[in-house]
Amino acid sequence: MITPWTYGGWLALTLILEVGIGALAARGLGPRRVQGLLAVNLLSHPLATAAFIEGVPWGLVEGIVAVGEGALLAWGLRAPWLRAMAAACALNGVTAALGAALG
Amino acid sequence: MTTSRALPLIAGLLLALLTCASARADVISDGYRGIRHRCVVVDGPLIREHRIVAFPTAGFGTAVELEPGVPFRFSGKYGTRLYAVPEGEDVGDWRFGETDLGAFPSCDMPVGHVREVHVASPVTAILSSIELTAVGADSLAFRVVDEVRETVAGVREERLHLYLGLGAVALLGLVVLVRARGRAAR
Repeated sequence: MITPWTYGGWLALTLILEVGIGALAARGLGPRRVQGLLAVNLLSHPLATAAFIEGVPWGLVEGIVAVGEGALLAWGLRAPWLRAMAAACALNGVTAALGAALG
Repeated sequence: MTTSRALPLIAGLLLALLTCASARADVISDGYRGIRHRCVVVDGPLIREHRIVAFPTAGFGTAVELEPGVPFRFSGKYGTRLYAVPEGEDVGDWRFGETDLGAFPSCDMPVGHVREVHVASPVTAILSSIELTAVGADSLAFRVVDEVRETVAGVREERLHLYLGLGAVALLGLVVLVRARGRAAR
């Protein structure tokens, strides 16, 4: 059973990692981009959690999330599509690897 | 208050309403509606040695022979009891009153019959799973092993609450993203 506290912990960890790594990787990341990263993760994380609960394989969920976040970043921040996709894939790759390493 | 400032506030209120049950208490008016509560007996060695009969299930003359895994109706109003008839015993047809079920070990239903829920509850049906654990000379013992509370489209109640909460978080994300896009245009 997933409680609001359990889910809140997962969400907080994801936000800290993705937004934190994003901010570190791109120094000078403005508040607008931080807001964009935060929004995209707030949108994708619950949907990904629901998909995972419904039995969609974790790897497939991560792949769809990376592409989806890239598209949302490009749309939301009016950023170049290729850059947004690359950033989303890199960020999700790092967090997925960290998640797998931490078990 | 401008629209851009009101949106996060509205999203926050929605999030609180969807995820916190006590916050909804003052929002929805009182009232109850009927639901379907059924029971199912799970398979086990004791079940195979006996025929379990539920009587009366709806009105005074209706009995049902239970089969593992097959849900059955029961009635709190008519006081359904469960009877264990030894397998292979010729007892006549209990459906037509030829059998005196009182001669066999029996017990009350191990679950209380839920006939209605609060109008704000999303529950539409309940299925309780029971397991026969002991057969004595006069009595039976069942234990409740599971209770599934179904909501719309067959989604379990606890999962519906989770999905509503997840939807509220996603909505918040969408609001923030739309605002970010608006800022990016300037």
